[in-house]
Amino acid sequence: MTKTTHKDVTCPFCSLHCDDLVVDNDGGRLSVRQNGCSRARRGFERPSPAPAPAVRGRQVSLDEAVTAAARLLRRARLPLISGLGSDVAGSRAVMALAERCRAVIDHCAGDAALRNLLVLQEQGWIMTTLTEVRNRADFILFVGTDAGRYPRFFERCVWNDKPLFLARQGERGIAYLGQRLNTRAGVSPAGTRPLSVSCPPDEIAAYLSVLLALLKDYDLAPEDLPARKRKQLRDLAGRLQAADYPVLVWVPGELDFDHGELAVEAATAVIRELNRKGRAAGLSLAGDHGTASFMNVCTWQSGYPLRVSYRHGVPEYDPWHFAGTRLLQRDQADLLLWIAAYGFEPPVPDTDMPTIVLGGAGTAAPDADVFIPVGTPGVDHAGNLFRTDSVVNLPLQGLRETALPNAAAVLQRLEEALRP
Amino acid sequence: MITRLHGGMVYDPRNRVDGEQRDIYIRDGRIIARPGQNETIDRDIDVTGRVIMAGGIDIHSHIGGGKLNIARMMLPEDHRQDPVKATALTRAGCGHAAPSTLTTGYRYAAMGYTTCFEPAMLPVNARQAHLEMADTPMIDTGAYAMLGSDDFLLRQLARGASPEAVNDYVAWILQATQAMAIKVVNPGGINAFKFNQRKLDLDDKNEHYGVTPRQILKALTSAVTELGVPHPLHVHGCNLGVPGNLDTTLMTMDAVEGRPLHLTHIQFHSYGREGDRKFSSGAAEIAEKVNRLDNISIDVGQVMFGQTVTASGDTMMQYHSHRHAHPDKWVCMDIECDAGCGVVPFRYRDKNFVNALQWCIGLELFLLVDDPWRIFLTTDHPNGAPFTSYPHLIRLLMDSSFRDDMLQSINRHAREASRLKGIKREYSLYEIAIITRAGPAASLGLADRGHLAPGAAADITVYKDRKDRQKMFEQPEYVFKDGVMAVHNGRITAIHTGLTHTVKPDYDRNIERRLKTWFERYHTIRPGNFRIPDEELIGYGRSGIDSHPLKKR
Repeated sequence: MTKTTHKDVTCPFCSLHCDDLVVDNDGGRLSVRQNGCSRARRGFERPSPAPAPAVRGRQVSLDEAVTAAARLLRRARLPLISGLGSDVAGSRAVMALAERCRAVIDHCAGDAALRNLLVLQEQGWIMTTLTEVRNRADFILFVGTDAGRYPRFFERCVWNDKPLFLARQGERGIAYLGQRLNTRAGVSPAGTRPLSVSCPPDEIAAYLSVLLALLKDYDLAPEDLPARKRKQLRDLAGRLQAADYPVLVWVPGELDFDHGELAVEAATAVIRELNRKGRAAGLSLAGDHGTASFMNVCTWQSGYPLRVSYRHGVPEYDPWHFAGTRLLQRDQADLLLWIAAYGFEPPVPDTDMPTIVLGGAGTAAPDADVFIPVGTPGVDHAGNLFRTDSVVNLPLQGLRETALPNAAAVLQRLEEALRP
Repeated sequence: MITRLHGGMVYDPRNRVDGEQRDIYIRDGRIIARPGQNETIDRDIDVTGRVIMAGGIDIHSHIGGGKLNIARMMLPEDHRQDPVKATALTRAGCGHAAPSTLTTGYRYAAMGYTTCFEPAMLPVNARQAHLEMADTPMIDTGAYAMLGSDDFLLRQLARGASPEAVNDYVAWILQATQAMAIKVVNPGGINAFKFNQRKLDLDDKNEHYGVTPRQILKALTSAVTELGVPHPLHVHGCNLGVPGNLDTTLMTMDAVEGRPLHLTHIQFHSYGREGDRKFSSGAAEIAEKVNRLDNISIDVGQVMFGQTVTASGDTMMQYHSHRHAHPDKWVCMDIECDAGCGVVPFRYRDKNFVNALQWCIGLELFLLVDDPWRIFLTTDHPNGAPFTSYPHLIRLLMDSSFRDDMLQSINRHAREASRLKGIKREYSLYEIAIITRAGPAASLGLADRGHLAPGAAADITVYKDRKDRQKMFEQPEYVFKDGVMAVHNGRITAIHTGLTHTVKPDYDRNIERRLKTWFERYHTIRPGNFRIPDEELIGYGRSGIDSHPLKKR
């Protein structure tokens, strides 16, 4: 078997979508040679799954699997299409199919996405993108996160060599607000330790509100906030005000408590306040499993970012009614089509209703009525994906020969099978 | 297969046909002079008494890309009032200020438009813009790549780069992003805002680079001219929306030293500072100068009353106007050492002095500029109003008594401050055909669109000649796209997959080496991944790429 090397490979496994990887293909076995991280290696170096579709556990041809899936979809009154781990082409195919079979669509990361969306739709925000952070951010406040799930964020956007607008490498202030965060990555190359304000996750919004008050010059002194914390927040306010381009970073998926959107809202309020006199911006690290891609496609095709129902033949948006987990728990849907082309999505939901699964490597779906293994975007086939900042869209390469169909092709076939 | 449209009154300004009865023959998507001797007419459509024009061409409409999608995302209330059902042929979607891509395509076609240009494609966001346009059915599309606030160019200018180096970069950007022209938005201002500069007039310096908007305009008009890009540099000037910006706009016209220049949505840049409210119309001064300088073309960016959303690359001015947001929410983004965007929902009110005067200023510009070949009909969709308001705007231009009636209903002080009531000019059908198709086609260098001579693409719109011009232009009887009947009486009859208009000027390959270093050092994307190859663009769902010839130097 021949060995080939692919350069400038975009990694699909976290939403930073680093596009500088060098990946070797040795007879179909991939290995990350340069610029990877733990998540990239885990993703690229998995063996390719067998292209073996199954109907109720019995191995069948792809044609038979598609026919069986179409039959189930035709019978369903309210299908739920979820998971939605896919790329732009897969998302476009999801939209056409959802419209055809009058389905509800929700992404497996829908809860996290909504923490941002509710704020966007209520107040808007001031945001930035990775390259701006890399070159411009002279102070970064991590809100409720240590960005540990984005292994190369510090390498690429914080401690990078020769930023355009900072005098020297490492000339950035770092601060953390939250609990049990690993702040080691925030120590500068010269050894400067980050500022760290400890607070329980569900009090992040309250702490940011105190910070906002301090920025507005209100001498707010909540009684239950110890003097030490007040001083820390006062320091933090001073650092934010002194910076030329402070950036607040949060990971909506990690604000996983009741009304986590309030923490996002409080962060955006701090950013707005800082912009009255200076500049500041936010950066949300989100959009794994193709969330940013799905939300963009869903928005330009339907007008709404996710949790859309085509039940009545028109796109209808309701973040609460059309939550996938809720529809499943209450048996309000009657079929689940689950798409997980990356294989790192949450497990297929356990449900009694008929289930069709399109799964990438590592997707376990022993109970699915129809299981169709699909290729992983950026590994088994080409495509493109939106990055976490929802601005940059990166091309994906197909890195190895495979008999696996891609999710978009299977979804298109289903849509065609359902045409009247 | 030959189709004949017989008996129609043809308005084809490029070929100086002003309402003459002519038969039109279509074969294989093209207009032909007449069938050959052995050919038969397969389909004969009686359009006696109908008005025939080429398909409409929108030279400036924000139909695809990040900022529009942010607008859609943040405004569910905009779509809820206008849900759009699927038909046997068409997909579902939604309308109004930030419509879904699908609905945008259908509605443009149903209105007789066959081509649209997205005027503010951030190079780093080009893939998204093209993906959205590929999901905009029925129409051909193209986009203008935004430069002028990107750090690569500003650093080059600051270091005194040679004009050739700038040309190579501009050519590379046009190719890499599959663009049709170059746009500049608040020249250098988006960049300056990142350094917390809140205002940047024509000769103000970017505090980091020391470069002025005037330098940027000179460098880019020079590059566009030298490269032979057919469309002039497409300029959204400094100080958008600021009372008194008229002076900057007039100076901008001189800043390019006689080179071709297109000033877009000039209505927003034609404000004086007269009167009690320090806000007045500068339309007369602007029009006078446009009439005098034949290197200048403009589009208006007419404001229409009602709810819309403003989406612009101009973060500096969008931040400034956020206090007028309605509903009260807004977005600003700094983007990738490339540019930025700002999205501010807005409601133009006819009883509000400023909004009413903006409405007057746009109309004054339409009516005071003499040469219809140098002024194009736009609302800067959706910034002044959604594109679906064009038929109403056409009626305002063609029907002075209707215009006077509307004028009576707006804010009294604005009415009194405007000279609109004294202007009796009415656009003819011939002039409407110029400002909505022939003019844009000429300006963009589309040789085979926007007219009806043999050899042209058969993009044809057939209107019933109705007295109520709004009704007439709202619903053409037939629209042919590349020879196929795509619309009949407002109903889509065939789905068309459009092509992408581009230009591909050559460049010295050395620029790629320099960009490789630049990207690898400062960016978070590799230049090879930044670039959109032809096959990739076609793969999104385009019927082709039409790469237009460059002007000879």
